[in-house]
Amino acid sequence: MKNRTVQRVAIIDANKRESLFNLQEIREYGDLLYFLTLRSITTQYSQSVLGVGWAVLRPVLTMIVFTVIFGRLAKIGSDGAPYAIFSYAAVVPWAYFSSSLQGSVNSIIANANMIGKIYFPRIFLPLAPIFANLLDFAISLVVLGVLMIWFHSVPSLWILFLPLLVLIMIMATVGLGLWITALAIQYRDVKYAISFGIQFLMYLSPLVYPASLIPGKYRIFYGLNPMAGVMEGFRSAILQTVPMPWDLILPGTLMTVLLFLSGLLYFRFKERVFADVV
Amino acid sequence: MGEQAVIVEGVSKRYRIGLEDEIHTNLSEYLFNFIKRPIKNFSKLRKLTRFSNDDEGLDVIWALKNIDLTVFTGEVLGIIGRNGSGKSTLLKLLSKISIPTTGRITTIGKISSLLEVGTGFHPELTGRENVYLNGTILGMRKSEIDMKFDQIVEFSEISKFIDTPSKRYSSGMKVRLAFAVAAFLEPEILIIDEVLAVGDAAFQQKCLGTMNQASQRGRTILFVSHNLSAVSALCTRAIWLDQGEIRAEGTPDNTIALYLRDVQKDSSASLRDREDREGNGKMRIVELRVENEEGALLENISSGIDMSFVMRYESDAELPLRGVKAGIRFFDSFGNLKFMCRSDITRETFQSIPNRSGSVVCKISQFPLPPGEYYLTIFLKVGGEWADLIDHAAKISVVSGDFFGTGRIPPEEKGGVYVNHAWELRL
Repeated sequence: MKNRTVQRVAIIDANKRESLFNLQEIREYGDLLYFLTLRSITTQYSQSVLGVGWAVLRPVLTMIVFTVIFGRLAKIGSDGAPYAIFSYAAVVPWAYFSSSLQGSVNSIIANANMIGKIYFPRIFLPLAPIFANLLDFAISLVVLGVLMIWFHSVPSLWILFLPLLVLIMIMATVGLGLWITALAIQYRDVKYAISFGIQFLMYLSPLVYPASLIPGKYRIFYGLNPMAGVMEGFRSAILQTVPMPWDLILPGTLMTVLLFLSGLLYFRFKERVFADVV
Repeated sequence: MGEQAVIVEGVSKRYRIGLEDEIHTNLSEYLFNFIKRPIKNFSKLRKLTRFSNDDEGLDVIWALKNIDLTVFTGEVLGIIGRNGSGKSTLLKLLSKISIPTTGRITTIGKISSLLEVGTGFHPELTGRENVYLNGTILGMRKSEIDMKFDQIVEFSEISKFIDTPSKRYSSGMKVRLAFAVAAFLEPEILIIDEVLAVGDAAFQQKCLGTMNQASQRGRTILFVSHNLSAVSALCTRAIWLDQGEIRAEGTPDNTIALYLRDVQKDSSASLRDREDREGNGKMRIVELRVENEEGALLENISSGIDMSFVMRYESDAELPLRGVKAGIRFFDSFGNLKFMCRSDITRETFQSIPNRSGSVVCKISQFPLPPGEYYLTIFLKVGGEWADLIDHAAKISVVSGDFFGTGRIPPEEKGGVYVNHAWELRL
């Protein structure tokens, strides 16, 4: 028998709240998050001919459709940049955001059975697809680089802020992802509402149009959508179309922090009852 | 007694089970309900997790009531009880899957629970990937799995296919691999549900053997089972849960004896009044008759006769009842399954039943059980969902009879079933 002093003592108390982070638990189960993420990645493109090629093809096809319909036919402005790369620069973070949200909702519903059979930190389920999508995101960034060379676009110095924008993007996705997964497990409506919600949010984001279209006095509210600042920021960094849109990024960052903390809080509060309601 | 491993103090668990929807009789009522539905659904879903303090509504059940229990290091504790007695709930609370409504559970030492093997297995992943995924779900570290990986694969006997996607595995291979991972867990406290022990006899043996080994290495084991002989053989102590409370506690044989006495007493109660049933109640079994070929009531069954089990049902659900399946399981007094009869296996699903009451009849020719006492679990499914399931619905006494129709009563041998057969000599 091992020395009892090294043994762990776990207390499950009906009246005690769990802390926001349980570091010991995250350490213990850390490898699980890694394998869940790996599972997300390997199963995503399994039994497909193109495989990871889809990570390149999807945003590029989206860009082509946007360019033809919104750039050529509808003649939506692009702040002076070629419409193709103008839209692609925003498609990259948007695709990450939307497919991660979809993935995290699906993860918790697809694994509902697992929740009832064994304990592990529930938060890993929505986090795994959010992390797994970073690979697709990285691939589409590489494609963005290729497009920049193709269109001879010169990035501005603001490109140094790209990691910050990526961080905001991830945190906003995690925050919102936690909210909707915690809701989805009890109310399956979320599953049906999510694709509509994402589409709705898409119109509120500068995906097919430049944020300069938004009248100045509304910009601060427009910026409350964290993705607005991120997407417009991507354009500013890569295409120099506009200066870094801090007036969008600041409210967006505030919103992101709020979403992240409240999402974490709500999820931790709700996960106690997951097994009872799935 | 040694040191404490698990301490359960005043633990209760409250669940809300859905109340039945009202049935509409006319179109306007239906339309009104259709509009009202989202509001009702919302409050229904919300109420799943919200309870007011004095909430003792019809749809609230206490699955566990004020359980106190201490398990010491090295003990093998068996937990027995009927369906719905709170056994599974207790396991779920101990494994942290679900949180108690009141009270507190302290566990000292690394704890693993096996309510299922192969949790998290994904068909698209290879055997190797699934071993790592499943292992980490069970609480192992990657480094730990790295170390044991070769042993796990060897134990599972599928080393040749370890890098093949597991969707190409046979179900037997999947179970073997999943079980191999579980067998190499090294927790100090192990929580096992007997549902693990499904599968073929060899697999069950392997399962119980592993448990036995673990207990010899000084592990603390909590074991839920219907299989009373396994509890008697493996456990050092047993508790009997009844309606969410501990009814008895002590040596396995004592606890089992008390439990069996109660079960026998209850088997005589009318099925209509039985509370310990599962299912949505769309059909309820109200009576079980044992009849001979002529339809006369049988007191005792003699081995080898042709006879029928007549399950009289009643129903308040919408007619017709679609896709009805019925079944009877026969257990000996130690809880070992002897055989079962299921209408879906013999392809007699009753597609549409137009009446609110009637009988589903199971005809058995040459009743195959040797003399002894047996217990019946009977169930009905409607449209793929459990409608009614009663454990220990009846006790039957079988007396010796001329099974083989040869005029010779088979000698009394313990256990087994009779099988119609013939011998010949080939030269």
